[in-house]
Amino acid sequence: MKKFKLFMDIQKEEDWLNGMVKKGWLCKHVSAWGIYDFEKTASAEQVIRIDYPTFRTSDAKKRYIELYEDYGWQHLGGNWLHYWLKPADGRDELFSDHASQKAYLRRLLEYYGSIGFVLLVIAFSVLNNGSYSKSLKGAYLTPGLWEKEGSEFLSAFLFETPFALMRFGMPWLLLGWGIAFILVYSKYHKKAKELDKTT
Amino acid sequence: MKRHKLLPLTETMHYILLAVREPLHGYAIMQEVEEMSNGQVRIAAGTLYGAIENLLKYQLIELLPGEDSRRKVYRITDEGMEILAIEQARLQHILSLYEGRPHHEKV
Repeated sequence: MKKFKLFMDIQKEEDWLNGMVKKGWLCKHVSAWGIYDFEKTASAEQVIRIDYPTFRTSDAKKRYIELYEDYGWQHLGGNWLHYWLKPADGRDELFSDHASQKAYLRRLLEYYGSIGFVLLVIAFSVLNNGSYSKSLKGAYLTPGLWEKEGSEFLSAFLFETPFALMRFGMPWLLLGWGIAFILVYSKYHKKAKELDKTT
Repeated sequence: MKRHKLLPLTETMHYILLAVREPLHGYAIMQEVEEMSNGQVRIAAGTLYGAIENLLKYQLIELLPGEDSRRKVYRITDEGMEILAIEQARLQHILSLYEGRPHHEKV
């Protein structure tokens, strides 16, 4: 069974994948564009973890995969986010000390913070300079569209509508995404602070 | 003198450095540390990977050119040994304080 799903929050994604295991569906592969390939499984005692490593060299990535595989983790895919599967045996976390948990959260903060920031900058600059996002009517660029009548108007109008929606909606969509990323950022920021308090 | 960025060593880093005084591959480091710590320190995969990369970055350990190309073997460097010596002196000093020695007395 293939499923398409996009997640912003990787904790939610991990919870969803592990919830699917409990329901008897094991994810065997994750492709870069959010397609999850599930297979029926009899064993619910398996755990999936999502990692967000950074590699200084291409060699580091090889060492990373080899080491995790030595630990018994099976690589399910991933380009920047990496998905790992292992039979649950009580050693099911990727990080075992405070410093590495903190470093993991720091990487996540960089990820959400930088994407959120870039999205907001683009959204604001388009909203400031572009004229299409102020009114939907203004986003229709067909010359003489509003003077046309009857079926001629309708076909020209319908033809232009997807483009108009895109011109009008794109910066608002980017703004929404940017805000969503910043919200996830603040969630992990809080988590990092809590981690500091407990140790 | 400016203290090395990794000092004082975390428990994980400390055990790893002590373990790789003998050449070891990644997973064997985890096993060795678990044994050295009487089962107290079980380093997870992500933690070990991050620690190894960090130690490589500061050249406290090095990759040995291996015959078996699949498994990378690591060993402590001279800089790594120096770091261990600094830590040993620090811990010995703290131990001497535990034992009630006046703090001005040099070890």
